[in-house]
Amino acid sequence: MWYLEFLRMRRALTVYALILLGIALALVVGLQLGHVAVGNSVSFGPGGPSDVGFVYVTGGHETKRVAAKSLEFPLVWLVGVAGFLAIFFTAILGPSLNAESEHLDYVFTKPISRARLGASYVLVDVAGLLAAFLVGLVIAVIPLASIGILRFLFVDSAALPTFVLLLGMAFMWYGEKQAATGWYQGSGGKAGVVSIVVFSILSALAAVDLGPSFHATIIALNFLNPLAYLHSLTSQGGTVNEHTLLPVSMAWQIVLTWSIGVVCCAIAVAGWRRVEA
Amino acid sequence: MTLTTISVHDLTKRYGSFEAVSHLTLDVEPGSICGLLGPNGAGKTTAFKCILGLARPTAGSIAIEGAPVTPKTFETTAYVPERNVLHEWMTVGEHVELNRRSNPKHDPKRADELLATFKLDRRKKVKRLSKGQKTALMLILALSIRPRILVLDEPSSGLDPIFQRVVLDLMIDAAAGGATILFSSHQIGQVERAADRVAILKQGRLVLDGTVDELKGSQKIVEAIFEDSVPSLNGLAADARILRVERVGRVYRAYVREGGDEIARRLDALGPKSVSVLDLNLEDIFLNAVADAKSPEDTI
Repeated sequence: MWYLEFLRMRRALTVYALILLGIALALVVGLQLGHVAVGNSVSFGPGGPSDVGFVYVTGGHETKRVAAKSLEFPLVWLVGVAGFLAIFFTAILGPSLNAESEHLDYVFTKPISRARLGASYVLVDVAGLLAAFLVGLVIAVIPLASIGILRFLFVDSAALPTFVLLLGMAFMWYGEKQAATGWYQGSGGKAGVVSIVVFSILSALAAVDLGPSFHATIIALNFLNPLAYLHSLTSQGGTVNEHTLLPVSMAWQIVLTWSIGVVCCAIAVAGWRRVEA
Repeated sequence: MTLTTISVHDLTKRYGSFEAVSHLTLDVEPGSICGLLGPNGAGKTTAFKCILGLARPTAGSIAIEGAPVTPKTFETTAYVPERNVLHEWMTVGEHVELNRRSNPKHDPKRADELLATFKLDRRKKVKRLSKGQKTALMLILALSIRPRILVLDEPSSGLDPIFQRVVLDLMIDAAAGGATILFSSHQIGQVERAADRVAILKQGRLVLDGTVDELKGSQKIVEAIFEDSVPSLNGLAADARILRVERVGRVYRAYVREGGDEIARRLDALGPKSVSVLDLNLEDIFLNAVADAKSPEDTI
Protein backbone atom coordinates (compact mmCIF):
# COMPACT_ATOMS: atom_id res chain seq x y z
CA MET A 1 0.00 0.00 0.00
CA TRP A 2 3.03 2.28 -0.08
CA TYR A 3 1.84 3.05 -3.61
CA LEU A 4 -1.23 4.85 -2.27
CA GLU A 5 0.84 7.05 0.03
CA PHE A 6 3.39 7.56 -2.73
CA LEU A 7 0.63 8.94 -4.97
CA ARG A 8 -0.63 11.20 -2.19
CA MET A 9 2.87 12.47 -1.37
CA ARG A 10 3.74 12.97 -5.03
CA ARG A 11 0.63 15.11 -5.38
CA ALA A 12 1.52 17.20 -2.31
CA LEU A 13 5.14 17.60 -3.43
CA THR A 14 4.09 18.67 -6.91
CA VAL A 15 1.92 21.46 -5.49
CA TYR A 16 4.71 22.43 -3.06
CA ALA A 17 7.36 22.50 -5.81
CA LEU A 18 5.16 24.54 -8.13
CA ILE A 19 4.50 27.14 -5.42
CA LEU A 20 8.22 27.40 -4.58
CA LEU A 21 9.11 27.57 -8.25
CA GLY A 22 6.62 30.39 -8.71
CA ILE A 23 8.18 32.32 -5.81
CA ALA A 24 11.69 31.65 -7.12
CA LEU A 25 10.80 32.84 -10.62
CA ALA A 26 9.19 35.98 -9.20
CA LEU A 27 12.43 36.63 -7.31
CA VAL A 28 14.48 36.09 -10.46
CA VAL A 29 12.35 38.58 -12.37
CA GLY A 30 12.60 41.03 -9.48
CA LEU A 31 16.38 40.68 -9.38
CA GLN A 32 16.71 41.11 -13.13
CA LEU A 33 14.62 44.28 -13.02
CA GLY A 34 16.91 45.63 -10.30
CA HIS A 35 14.18 45.84 -7.70
CA VAL A 36 16.09 43.76 -5.22
CA ALA A 37 18.67 45.67 -3.21
CA VAL A 38 21.57 43.22 -3.38
CA GLY A 39 22.17 43.96 -7.05
CA ASN A 40 20.97 42.11 -10.07
CA SER A 41 24.16 40.77 -11.60
CA VAL A 42 27.72 40.01 -10.73
CA SER A 43 30.52 40.07 -13.28
CA PHE A 44 34.19 39.33 -13.04
CA GLY A 45 37.23 41.32 -13.84
CA PRO A 46 39.39 40.81 -16.95
CA GLY A 47 40.91 37.65 -15.44
CA GLY A 48 37.45 35.94 -15.24
CA PRO A 49 36.44 33.81 -12.26
CA SER A 50 40.10 33.06 -11.55
CA ASP A 51 40.58 36.75 -10.87
CA VAL A 52 39.06 36.31 -7.43
CA GLY A 53 40.07 39.52 -5.78
CA PHE A 54 37.20 41.74 -6.92
CA VAL A 55 33.90 41.49 -8.70
CA TYR A 56 31.55 44.02 -10.24
CA VAL A 57 28.06 44.16 -8.80
CA THR A 58 25.47 45.87 -10.96
CA GLY A 59 22.27 47.11 -9.33
CA GLY A 60 19.90 49.42 -11.22
CA HIS A 61 22.10 51.93 -13.09
CA GLU A 62 25.05 51.62 -10.76
CA THR A 63 28.02 49.24 -10.88
CA LYS A 64 30.26 48.74 -7.86
CA ARG A 65 33.62 47.02 -7.56
CA VAL A 66 33.56 44.96 -4.38
CA ALA A 67 35.82 42.42 -2.72
CA ALA A 68 34.75 38.92 -3.76
CA LYS A 69 35.28 37.74 -0.22
CA SER A 70 32.42 39.95 0.98
CA LEU A 71 29.98 38.04 -1.23
CA GLU A 72 30.83 34.59 0.06
CA PHE A 73 28.06 32.78 1.91
CA PRO A 74 27.87 29.38 3.63
CA LEU A 75 25.75 26.42 2.52
CA VAL A 76 24.09 26.43 5.93
CA TRP A 77 22.14 29.53 4.87
CA LEU A 78 20.55 27.64 2.02
CA VAL A 79 20.02 24.64 4.27
CA GLY A 80 18.28 26.91 6.75
CA VAL A 81 15.93 28.30 4.10
CA ALA A 82 15.18 24.84 2.67
CA GLY A 83 14.73 23.43 6.19
CA PHE A 84 12.30 26.17 7.15
CA LEU A 85 10.30 25.49 3.98
CA ALA A 86 10.33 21.72 4.68
CA ILE A 87 9.04 22.37 8.21
CA PHE A 88 6.29 24.56 6.80
CA PHE A 89 5.45 21.81 4.30
CA THR A 90 5.24 19.31 7.17
CA ALA A 91 3.04 21.64 9.22
CA ILE A 92 0.44 22.01 6.49
CA LEU A 93 0.60 18.42 5.22
CA GLY A 94 -2.53 16.48 6.26
CA PRO A 95 -1.72 13.59 8.62
CA SER A 96 -1.77 10.51 6.39
CA LEU A 97 -3.03 7.91 8.90
CA ASN A 98 -5.97 10.07 9.86
CA ALA A 99 -6.60 10.79 6.16
CA GLU A 100 -7.39 7.09 5.76
CA SER A 101 -10.14 7.13 8.40
CA GLU A 102 -12.77 7.53 5.65
CA HIS A 103 -11.25 4.65 3.70
CA LEU A 104 -10.62 2.02 6.37
CA ASP A 105 -13.15 -0.40 4.85
CA TYR A 106 -10.91 -0.30 1.80
CA VAL A 107 -7.38 -0.30 3.23
CA PHE A 108 -8.04 -2.70 6.12
CA THR A 109 -9.41 -5.36 3.77
CA LYS A 110 -6.11 -5.81 1.96
CA PRO A 111 -3.86 -8.79 2.72
CA ILE A 112 -1.34 -6.63 4.57
CA SER A 113 -1.01 -6.30 8.34
CA ARG A 114 -2.16 -2.97 9.69
CA ALA A 115 1.18 -2.35 11.41
CA ARG A 116 3.02 -2.88 8.12
CA LEU A 117 0.48 -0.72 6.34
CA GLY A 118 0.94 2.13 8.85
CA ALA A 119 4.73 1.78 8.77
CA SER A 120 4.73 1.97 4.97
CA TYR A 121 2.78 5.24 5.14
CA VAL A 122 5.29 6.68 7.62
CA LEU A 123 8.30 5.61 5.55
CA VAL A 124 6.89 7.12 2.37
CA ASP A 125 6.06 10.33 4.23
CA VAL A 126 9.57 10.60 5.69
CA ALA A 127 11.01 10.13 2.21
CA GLY A 128 8.59 12.88 1.14
CA LEU A 129 9.88 15.22 3.86
CA LEU A 130 13.43 14.62 2.66
CA ALA A 131 12.30 15.28 -0.91
CA ALA A 132 10.59 18.51 0.20
CA PHE A 133 13.86 19.59 1.85
CA LEU A 134 15.86 18.85 -1.30
CA VAL A 135 13.27 20.53 -3.55
CA GLY A 136 13.52 23.64 -1.35
CA LEU A 137 17.31 23.52 -1.56
CA VAL A 138 17.36 23.19 -5.34
CA ILE A 139 14.76 25.91 -5.89
CA ALA A 140 16.51 28.28 -3.45
CA VAL A 141 19.55 28.09 -5.70
CA ILE A 142 17.69 29.44 -8.75
CA PRO A 143 17.52 33.15 -7.78
CA LEU A 144 21.13 33.07 -6.61
CA ALA A 145 22.28 31.48 -9.84
CA SER A 146 20.35 34.06 -11.86
CA ILE A 147 22.52 36.89 -10.48
CA GLY A 148 25.74 34.91 -10.67
CA ILE A 149 26.60 34.70 -6.99
CA LEU A 150 26.20 30.95 -6.64
CA ARG A 151 29.95 30.59 -7.17
CA PHE A 152 30.50 32.37 -3.85
CA LEU A 153 28.76 29.56 -2.02
CA PHE A 154 31.05 27.54 0.21
CA VAL A 155 30.36 24.34 2.07
CA ASP A 156 30.72 24.88 5.80
CA SER A 157 30.94 22.32 8.58
CA ALA A 158 27.62 23.42 10.10
CA ALA A 159 25.63 22.54 7.00
CA LEU A 160 25.30 18.81 7.62
CA PRO A 161 24.32 18.89 11.33
CA THR A 162 21.90 21.74 10.61
CA PHE A 163 20.39 19.72 7.78
CA VAL A 164 19.96 16.70 10.08
CA LEU A 165 18.47 18.84 12.86
CA LEU A 166 16.03 20.66 10.58
CA LEU A 167 14.93 17.40 9.00
CA GLY A 168 14.56 15.97 12.52
CA MET A 169 12.35 18.92 13.48
CA ALA A 170 10.17 18.32 10.43
CA PHE A 171 9.99 14.61 11.27
CA MET A 172 9.15 15.37 14.90
CA TRP A 173 6.35 17.72 13.89
CA TYR A 174 5.06 15.11 11.45
CA GLY A 175 5.17 12.36 14.11
CA GLU A 176 3.37 14.50 16.68
CA LYS A 177 0.57 15.27 14.25
CA GLN A 178 0.26 11.59 13.36
CA ALA A 179 0.17 10.55 17.04
CA ALA A 180 -2.45 13.19 17.83
CA THR A 181 -4.77 12.23 14.99
CA GLY A 182 -4.00 8.64 13.93
CA TRP A 183 -6.41 7.04 16.39
CA TYR A 184 -9.11 9.59 15.65
CA GLN A 185 -11.83 8.91 13.06
CA GLY A 186 -12.87 12.49 12.39
CA SER A 187 -11.08 14.81 10.02
CA GLY A 188 -7.55 15.67 11.18
CA GLY A 189 -6.99 18.17 8.39
CA LYS A 190 -6.95 21.11 10.81
CA ALA A 191 -4.17 19.52 12.87
CA GLY A 192 -1.58 21.54 10.90
CA VAL A 193 -3.09 24.92 11.73
CA VAL A 194 -3.75 23.92 15.34
CA SER A 195 -0.18 22.68 15.76
CA ILE A 196 1.27 25.93 14.37
CA VAL A 197 -0.80 27.95 16.86
CA VAL A 198 -0.01 25.67 19.82
CA PHE A 199 3.72 25.52 19.09
CA SER A 200 3.93 29.28 18.54
CA ILE A 201 2.17 29.97 21.86
CA LEU A 202 4.45 27.50 23.61
CA SER A 203 7.53 29.24 22.20
CA ALA A 204 6.19 32.66 23.17
CA LEU A 205 5.35 31.53 26.72
CA ALA A 206 9.01 30.66 27.27
CA ALA A 207 9.79 34.37 27.20
CA VAL A 208 7.13 35.25 29.78
CA ASP A 209 8.37 35.66 33.33
CA LEU A 210 5.76 34.01 35.56
CA GLY A 211 8.00 32.41 38.12
CA PRO A 212 10.63 29.67 38.00
CA SER A 213 8.27 26.67 38.25
CA PHE A 214 6.07 27.97 35.40
CA HIS A 215 9.15 28.67 33.32
CA ALA A 216 10.58 25.20 34.00
CA THR A 217 7.26 23.62 32.98
CA ILE A 218 7.15 25.64 29.76
CA ILE A 219 10.76 24.75 28.93
CA ALA A 220 10.00 21.07 29.56
CA LEU A 221 6.97 21.28 27.26
CA ASN A 222 9.05 23.02 24.64
CA PHE A 223 11.16 19.92 24.24
CA LEU A 224 8.09 18.62 22.40
CA ASN A 225 7.83 21.80 20.34
CA PRO A 226 9.66 21.63 17.00
CA LEU A 227 9.68 25.43 16.76
CA ALA A 228 11.66 25.62 20.00
CA TYR A 229 14.57 23.91 18.29
CA LEU A 230 14.60 26.67 15.64
CA HIS A 231 15.54 29.16 18.35
CA SER A 232 18.70 27.20 18.96
CA LEU A 233 20.08 27.76 15.49
CA THR A 234 22.21 30.87 15.16
CA SER A 235 23.06 32.78 12.05
CA GLN A 236 26.64 31.61 12.55
CA GLY A 237 25.59 28.23 11.40
CA GLY A 238 23.92 25.89 13.77
CA THR A 239 25.96 26.22 16.93
CA VAL A 240 24.02 26.49 20.16
CA ASN A 241 23.13 30.03 21.01
CA GLU A 242 23.80 31.05 24.58
CA HIS A 243 20.25 32.43 24.70
CA THR A 244 18.84 29.20 23.36
CA LEU A 245 15.38 28.07 24.45
CA LEU A 246 16.44 24.49 25.01
CA PRO A 247 19.53 24.14 27.19
CA VAL A 248 21.06 21.18 25.35
CA SER A 249 23.75 20.83 22.71
CA MET A 250 22.95 20.56 19.02
CA ALA A 251 23.88 16.87 19.03
CA TRP A 252 21.31 16.26 21.76
CA GLN A 253 18.76 18.27 19.87
CA ILE A 254 19.28 16.06 16.86
CA VAL A 255 18.88 12.94 19.01
CA LEU A 256 15.78 14.37 20.69
CA THR A 257 13.97 15.47 17.52
CA TRP A 258 14.52 12.17 15.77
CA SER A 259 13.71 10.10 18.88
CA ILE A 260 10.49 12.01 19.58
CA GLY A 261 9.55 11.60 15.92
CA VAL A 262 10.13 7.83 16.02
CA VAL A 263 8.21 7.38 19.29
CA CYS A 264 5.29 9.49 18.03
CA CYS A 265 5.12 7.54 14.76
CA ALA A 266 5.12 4.25 16.70
CA ILE A 267 2.29 5.55 18.93
CA ALA A 268 0.39 6.74 15.84
CA VAL A 269 0.63 3.38 14.07
CA ALA A 270 -0.31 1.49 17.26
CA GLY A 271 -3.39 3.70 17.73
CA TRP A 272 -4.37 3.62 14.07
CA ARG A 273 -4.30 -0.16 13.75
CA ARG A 274 -6.91 -0.40 16.50
CA VAL A 275 -9.32 2.07 14.90
CA GLU A 276 -12.67 0.54 13.98
CA ALA A 277 -14.00 1.19 10.50
CA MET B 1 -17.09 -32.93 6.58
CA THR B 2 -17.33 -29.59 4.73
CA LEU B 3 -16.03 -26.59 6.59
CA THR B 4 -18.50 -23.73 6.99
CA THR B 5 -17.13 -20.76 5.05
CA ILE B 6 -18.42 -18.01 7.31
CA SER B 7 -19.31 -18.96 10.84
CA VAL B 8 -20.75 -16.39 13.22
CA HIS B 9 -21.58 -17.56 16.73
CA ASP B 10 -23.50 -15.50 19.27
CA LEU B 11 -22.13 -12.23 17.93
CA THR B 12 -22.98 -9.11 19.89
CA LYS B 13 -21.74 -5.62 19.13
CA ARG B 14 -22.53 -2.69 21.39
CA TYR B 15 -21.73 0.99 20.92
CA GLY B 16 -22.14 2.39 24.40
CA SER B 17 -25.59 1.33 25.54
CA PHE B 18 -26.79 0.74 21.97
CA GLU B 19 -26.77 -2.88 20.87
CA ALA B 20 -26.24 -2.82 17.09
CA VAL B 21 -26.04 -6.61 16.76
CA SER B 22 -27.46 -8.95 19.35
CA HIS B 23 -26.56 -12.64 19.71
CA LEU B 24 -26.32 -13.27 15.98
CA THR B 25 -25.54 -16.83 14.93
CA LEU B 26 -25.16 -17.48 11.23
CA ASP B 27 -23.40 -20.09 9.11
CA VAL B 28 -22.77 -19.62 5.41
CA GLU B 29 -21.94 -22.81 3.55
CA PRO B 30 -19.28 -23.03 0.82
CA GLY B 31 -20.45 -22.00 -2.63
CA SER B 32 -23.74 -20.62 -1.37
CA ILE B 33 -25.25 -17.17 -1.70
CA CYS B 34 -26.68 -15.84 1.54
CA GLY B 35 -28.78 -12.70 1.49
CA LEU B 36 -28.96 -10.63 4.63
CA LEU B 37 -32.11 -8.56 4.80
CA GLY B 38 -33.27 -5.99 7.28
CA PRO B 39 -34.61 -2.46 7.50
CA ASN B 40 -32.18 0.45 7.83
CA GLY B 41 -30.38 0.27 11.17
CA ALA B 42 -31.05 -3.46 11.59
CA GLY B 43 -27.34 -4.15 12.07
CA LYS B 44 -26.41 -5.61 8.68
CA THR B 45 -23.41 -3.35 8.06
CA THR B 46 -22.20 -3.74 11.64
CA ALA B 47 -22.46 -7.52 11.30
CA PHE B 48 -20.38 -7.38 8.09
CA LYS B 49 -17.77 -5.19 9.75
CA CYS B 50 -17.49 -7.59 12.69
CA ILE B 51 -17.23 -10.58 10.35
CA LEU B 52 -14.38 -8.90 8.45
CA GLY B 53 -12.54 -7.69 11.55
CA LEU B 54 -13.25 -4.04 10.79
CA ALA B 55 -15.09 -3.71 14.10
CA ARG B 56 -14.35 -5.58 17.32
CA PRO B 57 -17.25 -7.73 18.57
CA THR B 58 -18.37 -7.10 22.11
CA ALA B 59 -19.02 -10.83 22.46
CA GLY B 60 -19.20 -13.92 20.31
CA SER B 61 -16.89 -15.54 17.82
CA ILE B 62 -16.33 -15.37 14.07
CA ALA B 63 -14.42 -17.71 11.80
CA ILE B 64 -13.78 -17.57 8.08
CA GLU B 65 -12.95 -20.98 6.63
CA GLY B 66 -12.51 -22.22 10.19
CA ALA B 67 -9.99 -19.61 11.30
CA PRO B 68 -10.05 -16.11 12.74
CA VAL B 69 -9.73 -13.23 10.30
CA THR B 70 -6.11 -12.27 9.56
CA PRO B 71 -4.61 -10.10 6.81
CA LYS B 72 -4.07 -13.28 4.78
CA THR B 73 -7.84 -13.83 4.79
CA PHE B 74 -8.12 -10.90 2.39
CA GLU B 75 -6.06 -12.59 -0.29
CA THR B 76 -9.22 -14.52 -1.09
CA THR B 77 -11.93 -12.47 0.60
CA ALA B 78 -13.25 -9.28 -0.92
CA TYR B 79 -15.57 -6.70 0.55
CA VAL B 80 -17.70 -4.07 -1.14
CA PRO B 81 -18.95 -1.64 1.49
CA GLU B 82 -22.23 0.20 1.30
CA ARG B 83 -20.71 3.69 1.13
CA ASN B 84 -18.04 4.95 -1.22
CA VAL B 85 -14.62 4.39 0.35
CA LEU B 86 -12.55 5.10 -2.75
CA HIS B 87 -10.05 7.96 -2.87
CA GLU B 88 -11.74 10.74 -4.79
CA TRP B 89 -8.49 12.27 -6.04
CA MET B 90 -7.25 9.03 -7.58
CA THR B 91 -8.10 7.77 -11.04
CA VAL B 92 -9.84 4.50 -11.86
CA GLY B 93 -6.55 3.16 -13.25
CA GLU B 94 -4.65 4.10 -10.08
CA HIS B 95 -7.17 2.17 -7.98
CA VAL B 96 -6.76 -0.87 -10.20
CA GLU B 97 -2.98 -0.52 -9.98
CA LEU B 98 -3.21 -0.22 -6.19
CA ASN B 99 -5.25 -3.41 -6.13
CA ARG B 100 -2.62 -5.15 -8.25
CA ARG B 101 0.19 -4.05 -5.97
CA SER B 102 -1.61 -4.90 -2.74
CA ASN B 103 -3.08 -8.29 -3.58
CA PRO B 104 -1.08 -11.14 -5.13
CA LYS B 105 -4.31 -12.69 -6.38
CA HIS B 106 -5.23 -9.70 -8.52
CA ASP B 107 -5.99 -10.77 -12.09
CA PRO B 108 -5.31 -7.87 -14.51
CA LYS B 109 -7.17 -9.58 -17.35
CA ARG B 110 -10.27 -9.96 -15.19
CA ALA B 111 -9.99 -6.31 -14.15
CA ASP B 112 -9.86 -5.25 -17.81
CA GLU B 113 -12.92 -7.38 -18.62
CA LEU B 114 -14.87 -5.85 -15.76
CA LEU B 115 -13.81 -2.30 -16.62
CA ALA B 116 -15.13 -2.93 -20.13
CA THR B 117 -18.37 -4.44 -18.78
CA PHE B 118 -19.05 -1.37 -16.66
CA LYS B 119 -17.65 0.97 -19.34
CA LEU B 120 -15.27 2.68 -16.93
CA ASP B 121 -12.44 4.84 -18.23
CA ARG B 122 -9.13 4.18 -16.46
CA ARG B 123 -8.07 7.83 -16.77
CA LYS B 124 -11.13 9.23 -15.08
CA LYS B 125 -10.80 10.54 -11.54
CA VAL B 126 -13.12 8.95 -8.99
CA LYS B 127 -14.58 12.36 -8.10
CA ARG B 128 -15.87 12.57 -11.69
CA LEU B 129 -17.72 9.24 -11.45
CA SER B 130 -21.42 8.90 -10.69
CA LYS B 131 -22.52 7.10 -7.52
CA GLY B 132 -23.30 3.99 -9.55
CA GLN B 133 -19.92 4.08 -11.29
CA LYS B 134 -18.18 4.30 -7.92
CA THR B 135 -20.09 1.25 -6.74
CA ALA B 136 -19.14 -0.47 -10.00
CA LEU B 137 -15.46 0.34 -9.43
CA MET B 138 -15.58 -1.10 -5.92
CA LEU B 139 -17.14 -4.24 -7.39
CA ILE B 140 -14.46 -4.44 -10.08
CA LEU B 141 -11.71 -4.20 -7.45
CA ALA B 142 -13.40 -6.91 -5.40
CA LEU B 143 -14.04 -9.29 -8.27
CA SER B 144 -10.66 -8.84 -9.94
CA ILE B 145 -8.98 -10.91 -7.21
CA ARG B 146 -11.37 -13.77 -8.11
CA PRO B 147 -12.36 -14.07 -4.44
CA ARG B 148 -13.37 -17.31 -2.76
CA ILE B 149 -15.48 -15.26 -0.36
CA LEU B 150 -17.33 -12.14 -1.32
CA VAL B 151 -19.08 -9.87 1.16
CA LEU B 152 -21.25 -7.24 -0.48
CA ASP B 153 -23.11 -4.54 1.40
CA GLU B 154 -25.81 -3.14 -0.90
CA PRO B 155 -23.89 -3.96 -4.10
CA SER B 156 -26.57 -2.46 -6.35
CA SER B 157 -26.71 0.84 -4.53
CA GLY B 158 -26.93 3.66 -7.05
CA LEU B 159 -26.84 1.40 -10.09
CA ASP B 160 -29.43 1.64 -12.84
CA PRO B 161 -31.61 -1.45 -13.53
CA ILE B 162 -29.34 -2.62 -16.37
CA PHE B 163 -26.24 -2.64 -14.16
CA GLN B 164 -28.23 -4.07 -11.25
CA ARG B 165 -28.84 -7.06 -13.48
CA VAL B 166 -25.14 -7.19 -14.39
CA VAL B 167 -24.24 -7.24 -10.68
CA LEU B 168 -26.75 -10.01 -10.08
CA ASP B 169 -25.29 -12.04 -12.94
CA LEU B 170 -21.74 -11.47 -11.67
CA MET B 171 -22.75 -12.72 -8.22
CA ILE B 172 -24.40 -15.80 -9.65
CA ASP B 173 -21.38 -16.36 -11.91
CA ALA B 174 -18.96 -16.06 -8.98
CA ALA B 175 -21.02 -18.50 -6.93
CA ALA B 176 -21.15 -20.92 -9.87
CA GLY B 177 -17.36 -20.74 -9.89
CA GLY B 178 -17.30 -21.83 -6.25
CA ALA B 179 -17.31 -18.50 -4.43
CA THR B 180 -19.30 -18.05 -1.25
CA ILE B 181 -21.28 -14.85 -1.16
CA LEU B 182 -22.80 -12.98 1.75
CA PHE B 183 -24.66 -9.88 0.70
CA SER B 184 -27.25 -7.40 1.83
CA SER B 185 -29.71 -5.59 -0.36
CA HIS B 186 -32.91 -3.63 -0.20
CA GLN B 187 -33.76 -5.05 -3.64
CA ILE B 188 -35.76 -8.00 -2.39
CA GLY B 189 -36.35 -9.24 -5.91
CA GLN B 190 -32.59 -9.43 -6.37
CA VAL B 191 -32.18 -11.38 -3.14
CA GLU B 192 -34.99 -13.74 -4.10
CA ARG B 193 -33.40 -14.36 -7.46
CA ALA B 194 -29.80 -14.84 -6.32
CA ALA B 195 -29.83 -16.13 -2.77
CA ASP B 196 -29.96 -19.77 -1.75
CA ARG B 197 -30.53 -18.68 1.76
CA VAL B 198 -31.92 -15.62 3.50
CA ALA B 199 -31.36 -14.26 6.98
CA ILE B 200 -33.49 -11.39 8.24
CA LEU B 201 -32.27 -9.01 10.92
CA LYS B 202 -34.43 -6.70 12.97
CA GLN B 203 -32.98 -4.36 15.59
CA GLY B 204 -29.77 -6.37 15.60
CA ARG B 205 -31.47 -9.72 16.13
CA LEU B 206 -31.85 -12.56 13.67
CA VAL B 207 -35.59 -12.99 13.30
CA LEU B 208 -35.73 -15.41 10.39
CA ASP B 209 -33.23 -17.68 8.70
CA GLY B 210 -33.59 -20.39 6.10
CA THR B 211 -33.53 -21.27 2.42
CA VAL B 212 -35.82 -19.21 0.22
CA ASP B 213 -38.01 -22.28 -0.45
CA GLU B 214 -38.21 -23.15 3.25
CA LEU B 215 -39.24 -19.63 4.13
CA LYS B 216 -41.82 -19.45 1.36
CA GLY B 217 -43.24 -22.82 2.41
CA SER B 218 -43.40 -21.85 6.06
CA GLN B 219 -45.99 -19.12 5.63
CA LYS B 220 -49.25 -18.61 3.72
CA ILE B 221 -51.66 -15.74 3.17
CA VAL B 222 -55.33 -16.35 3.83
CA GLU B 223 -57.20 -13.67 1.93
CA ALA B 224 -60.94 -13.06 2.36
CA ILE B 225 -62.95 -10.52 0.35
CA PHE B 226 -66.28 -9.46 1.84
CA GLU B 227 -69.33 -7.93 0.14
CA ASP B 228 -69.42 -4.99 2.55
CA SER B 229 -66.97 -4.07 5.28
CA VAL B 230 -65.04 -6.75 7.12
CA PRO B 231 -67.30 -8.13 9.90
CA SER B 232 -66.32 -8.88 13.47
CA LEU B 233 -63.81 -11.69 13.38
CA ASN B 234 -64.59 -13.09 16.83
CA GLY B 235 -60.97 -12.95 18.04
CA LEU B 236 -59.62 -14.73 14.99
CA ALA B 237 -56.61 -12.40 14.77
CA ALA B 238 -55.56 -13.37 18.29
CA ASP B 239 -54.81 -16.87 17.03
CA ALA B 240 -51.12 -17.49 17.73
CA ARG B 241 -50.63 -19.00 14.27
CA ILE B 242 -51.45 -15.65 12.68
CA LEU B 243 -48.35 -13.50 12.37
CA ARG B 244 -49.91 -10.37 11.00
CA VAL B 245 -53.22 -9.16 9.64
CA GLU B 246 -54.07 -6.49 7.09
CA ARG B 247 -57.47 -4.89 6.56
CA VAL B 248 -57.94 -2.77 3.48
CA GLY B 249 -61.61 -1.89 2.79
CA ARG B 250 -63.42 -5.14 2.10
CA VAL B 251 -60.21 -7.18 2.01
CA TYR B 252 -58.89 -9.06 5.01
CA ARG B 253 -55.50 -10.79 4.86
CA ALA B 254 -54.00 -13.00 7.53
CA TYR B 255 -50.36 -14.06 7.28
CA VAL B 256 -50.18 -17.45 8.92
CA ARG B 257 -47.30 -19.66 9.96
CA GLU B 258 -49.38 -22.85 9.77
CA GLY B 259 -52.98 -24.00 9.71
CA GLY B 260 -53.87 -21.85 6.71
CA ASP B 261 -56.68 -24.16 5.61
CA GLU B 262 -58.33 -24.18 9.03
CA ILE B 263 -58.17 -20.37 9.28
CA ALA B 264 -59.62 -20.18 5.77
CA ARG B 265 -62.56 -22.36 6.92
CA ARG B 266 -63.15 -20.10 9.93
CA LEU B 267 -63.16 -17.03 7.68
CA ASP B 268 -65.42 -18.79 5.21
CA ALA B 269 -67.97 -19.27 8.01
CA LEU B 270 -68.28 -15.44 8.19
CA GLY B 271 -69.80 -15.40 4.69
CA PRO B 272 -67.25 -13.61 2.51
CA LYS B 273 -67.49 -13.27 -1.27
CA SER B 274 -64.31 -15.37 -1.59
CA VAL B 275 -61.57 -16.93 0.51
CA SER B 276 -58.23 -18.16 -0.83
CA VAL B 277 -54.96 -19.48 0.56
CA LEU B 278 -52.01 -17.91 -1.28
CA ASP B 279 -48.25 -18.48 -1.33
CA LEU B 280 -46.00 -15.71 -0.05
CA ASN B 281 -43.15 -14.07 -1.92
CA LEU B 282 -39.94 -13.01 -0.19
CA GLU B 283 -41.15 -9.44 0.18
CA ASP B 284 -44.19 -10.64 2.17
CA ILE B 285 -41.94 -12.80 4.34
CA PHE B 286 -39.60 -9.88 4.93
CA LEU B 287 -42.42 -7.50 5.82
CA ASN B 288 -43.91 -10.06 8.22
CA ALA B 289 -40.54 -10.59 9.85
CA VAL B 290 -39.79 -6.93 10.44
CA ALA B 291 -43.35 -5.74 11.13
CA ASP B 292 -44.21 -4.75 14.66
CA ALA B 293 -46.30 -7.13 16.75
CA LYS B 294 -50.00 -7.31 15.98
CA SER B 295 -51.56 -4.07 17.13
CA PRO B 296 -54.71 -4.08 19.32
CA GLU B 297 -56.99 -2.97 16.49
CA ASP B 298 -55.81 -5.94 14.43
CA THR B 299 -56.77 -8.35 17.15
CA ILE B 300 -60.46 -7.48 17.09
